[in-house]
Amino acid sequence: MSSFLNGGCPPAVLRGLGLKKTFGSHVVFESLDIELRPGELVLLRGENGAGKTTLIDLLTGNQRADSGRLEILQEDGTTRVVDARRADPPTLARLGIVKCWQRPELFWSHSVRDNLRIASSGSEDSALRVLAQAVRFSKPGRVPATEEPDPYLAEFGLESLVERKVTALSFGQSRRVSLALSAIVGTRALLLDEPLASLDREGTKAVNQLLGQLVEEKKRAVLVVEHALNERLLAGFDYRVLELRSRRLERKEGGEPTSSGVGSPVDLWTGTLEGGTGLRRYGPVEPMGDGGFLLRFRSAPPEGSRPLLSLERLRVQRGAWELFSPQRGQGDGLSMAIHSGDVAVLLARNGWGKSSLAKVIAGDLPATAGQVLLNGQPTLDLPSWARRRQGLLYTETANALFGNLSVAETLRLKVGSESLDGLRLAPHREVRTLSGGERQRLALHCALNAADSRLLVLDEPFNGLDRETVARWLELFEAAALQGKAILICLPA
Amino acid sequence: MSYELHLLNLALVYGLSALGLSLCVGHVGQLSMAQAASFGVGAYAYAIFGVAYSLPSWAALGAAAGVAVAFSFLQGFIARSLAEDEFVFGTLAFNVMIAGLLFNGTDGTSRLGSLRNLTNGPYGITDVPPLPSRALGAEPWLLTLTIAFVVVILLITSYAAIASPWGRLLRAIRDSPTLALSLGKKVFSERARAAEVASFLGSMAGVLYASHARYIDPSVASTDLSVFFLTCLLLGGAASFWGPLLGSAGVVLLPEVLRLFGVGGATVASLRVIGYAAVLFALLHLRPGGLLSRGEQPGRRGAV
Repeated sequence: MSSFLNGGCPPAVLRGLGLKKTFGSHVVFESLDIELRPGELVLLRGENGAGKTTLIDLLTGNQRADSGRLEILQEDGTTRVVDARRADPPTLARLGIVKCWQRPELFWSHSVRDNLRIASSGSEDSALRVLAQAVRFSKPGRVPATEEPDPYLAEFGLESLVERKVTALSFGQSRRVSLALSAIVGTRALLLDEPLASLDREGTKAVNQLLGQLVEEKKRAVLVVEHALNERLLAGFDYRVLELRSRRLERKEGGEPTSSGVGSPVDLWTGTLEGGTGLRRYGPVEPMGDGGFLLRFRSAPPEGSRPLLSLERLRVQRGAWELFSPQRGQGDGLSMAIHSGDVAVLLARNGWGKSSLAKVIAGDLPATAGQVLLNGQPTLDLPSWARRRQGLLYTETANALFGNLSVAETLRLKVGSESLDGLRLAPHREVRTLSGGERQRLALHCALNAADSRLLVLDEPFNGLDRETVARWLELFEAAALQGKAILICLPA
Repeated sequence: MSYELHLLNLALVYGLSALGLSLCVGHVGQLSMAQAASFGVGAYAYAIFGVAYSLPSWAALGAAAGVAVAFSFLQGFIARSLAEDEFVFGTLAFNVMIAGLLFNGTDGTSRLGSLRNLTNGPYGITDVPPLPSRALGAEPWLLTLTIAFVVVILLITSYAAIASPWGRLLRAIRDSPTLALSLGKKVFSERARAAEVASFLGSMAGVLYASHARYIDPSVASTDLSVFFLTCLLLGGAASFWGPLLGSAGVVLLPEVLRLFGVGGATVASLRVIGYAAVLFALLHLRPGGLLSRGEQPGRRGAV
């Protein structure tokens, strides 16, 4: 405390000391130390598979360490020591240390208000108290006034959403509610796994504002893992960088100033794709309606051939909404044409229908009107496997790999050869032991190297990828385009 | 008139047991196959206290309630230790074990209620005292009123529990145990609490059943009966208050409806099984969340 008054660093709220973690013979950390201080934003960086998620899990008790300990500074100034071999999430949550998942995890059958209440309730929900109330016949079931979480709502800007079921929230809104739940319980430190992944501009702005409040006003310690291309979205913050490299943490002074601030998504992605490859933007930015855009990149001029993929006045029913309809200002449906050699980037907000569109093209979702033409042939009536035979390949965000196959077996199944060219993965490892980023890498590798593919549809291919891998994908995109393949990439903006 | 009361008694008793089970299955989301174990233990406790130890009916009910509380901790222990598939098989094994103990708890000669002949085995226990008291005799009206009285008190308490913040926490754990854990909720203890309440209500239903039937044998703890309770529950809707009650009433009254169509007697018994299956299939198809659900399953949603 004294050093804080002296103007030095405030004492750490969470310390991990001597953390060791192995998976079988694979050593993730040997003896790792980390500390998080209040009012500080830390960006945890590292290659795919370096153990970023594992470290978050160790610090929050979601995984147990082989050895090591956690020290948590409590409100009263005393330090509580928890054995990292026996740490569990409830214990650490009660000490104010909470993890937030990349995929928003919510209590799906409850309203937003109830989600917040469940997070904020202390002893109101104990069975014994309920029993006591029932015995006294003291208006059971009535929620005590003290339980109202209204102050939380004001802080997180969720007032207009409280009555909604969480299933009726947009992706960006559910990410915010998910963060709010973590922030209610995590009074000391929050550990966030890719909080900006898959968010459009508006969602990013809202989450960034929330992060700012937590760090600057509430003086929480916040540790963030973010994939390489999303780091630039943190540009408005003053953050410390920790880099996981060969089982150790290295301290980096400040974030390398990448592009300053959050430019327009069109400029941002143009810069990303043109930097380091021979791909150049080609033709105008094509508005797709409802705020969506299509950008085209090529490394060679088009030869004026028939489009590889064309969509004609496509409409899709998704739940209660019809996507690409006049109600959404998209005239009589969605139309676009993608030629051989195109790397097309579709930029649109969350809820626009990017993932649905990718699924319709792949044959996983029916269309209500319009046509999808592959090589000029109508394909809407074809099942997905028949479209695959025509050279169409689709990779989801949460990609479908087989967990029990090894890397080599996966390659043999999906590519036909076991060439590990540039993959940086051990061939004998089973897919389920790979980290999130490594899986994404393997799925993309399979998609790009499948010999008979002509058109690739990639839904958010950059999630979870490190810098080096992103650079390599961009090269491979260029190579694929030069071979006459076409790529459609869906990205949030 | 007494036949209608007989049906009403059964509907109340099964409804209470199914409602208890709904806490475990519908609210906290653990599929228990051991509700009949609690039901049977409650029934046997009441019968043994009433017959072998000649306690007055109300005293036997109170003593059996004590046994029910003690027994509920066993069920709670299973719920604390096992989850998902393991819990289903664990409870099934536990039910088989309890049924086996009741069936084999006899040496054929010793006095009923002694350690050597606790349950009288397959012969069952006859002349179980009726509620509210032996002296008043087996007056159907009085019995139904007493059963209804006990059931209503327990239902009000259960309603309070389901509507309370605790009930909400149980449903939250069902939605996402991972999130509940990471928000500091003691998921395993809460699962145990839910299983304990479920077991207690099941045992009390067993007590009332014994006083209604006046004769019990080990079939009151059979796994068939556990499945029967699950059927009642799934028919009505596992995560609602009225669902299990409605489902039990439906199952009890279904044979009577069949009788209207000229099907009766021995045919009913065999038709009933087919009828259950048909109704269950229809229901699972049309309303996967039960009769009182709104036709949608709470659960994941796809990304738009």
